[in-house]
Amino acid sequence: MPSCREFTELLSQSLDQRLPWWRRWQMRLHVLICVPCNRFQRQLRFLKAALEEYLPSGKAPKAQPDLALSPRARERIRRLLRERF
Amino acid sequence: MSKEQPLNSKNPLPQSPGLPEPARWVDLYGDSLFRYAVFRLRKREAAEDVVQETFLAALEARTRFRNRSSVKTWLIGILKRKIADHLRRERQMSPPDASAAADMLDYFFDHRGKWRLSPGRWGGDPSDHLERDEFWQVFRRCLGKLPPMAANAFVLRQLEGASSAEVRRSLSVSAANLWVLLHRARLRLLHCLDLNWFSS
Repeated sequence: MPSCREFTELLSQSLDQRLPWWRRWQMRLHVLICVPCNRFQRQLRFLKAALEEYLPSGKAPKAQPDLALSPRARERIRRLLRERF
Repeated sequence: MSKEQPLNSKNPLPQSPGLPEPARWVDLYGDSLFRYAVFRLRKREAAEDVVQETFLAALEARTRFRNRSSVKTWLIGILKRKIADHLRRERQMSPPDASAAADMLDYFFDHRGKWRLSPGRWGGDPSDHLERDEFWQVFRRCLGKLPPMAANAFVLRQLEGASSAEVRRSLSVSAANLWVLLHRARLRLLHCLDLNWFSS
């Protein structure tokens, strides 16, 4: 049976590739009886859903709404566009 | 239209319908693109560079813009490619990542492989968190604390949605390396969010 450390490693792997069925069963059993790993799995799924579904939906507020191009960068880009247009 | 003639305002081509003239692009889209890039690259200067590259590439490609998608979506598409290019270049310039993954995991697990600190319980509706400005600010800060390679792997795979194969190509890492990078990133990121958002 995997330790918690192994469980988290397998969990990470499972996000990027399909694990063999017996591994998946081991993980299912482990997470049934292990509270910390159960929580970790939920956290990881929350994060995955947040980034895959919520962030691209446009509903996420801007992390720093006041963040903007510096005046120097703004002017440099404008100038480059003028030169080439 | 002669293919020999340079694209400039002395040889005006019919502007693609729906596309504002390039002189206005920085004002209309510059800041949105910049915020998108900073979130992923964690550095202002790098973000400014890719935004510049994006606008210049868009200028070259402007006659190919089709009104099927919005201008912003089109620009973001170009920006995503420029971000991936940037991360690839960054990887090529930096030495291989020498830090040992094992040390880092000892922080989280004891010699028997059990958690040293139990992950917290994240309650509430996801939207309670995801709709708050402050959550994404904490997220951004947590992302900024990751080692660069781990952060870039995470950004490409889980923010940009690149396939594992694409991420491996961009970062010149093996499948085993990539898995280690992503695992470290996830452990640290979740721990950081745990401490700085969900339990405070």
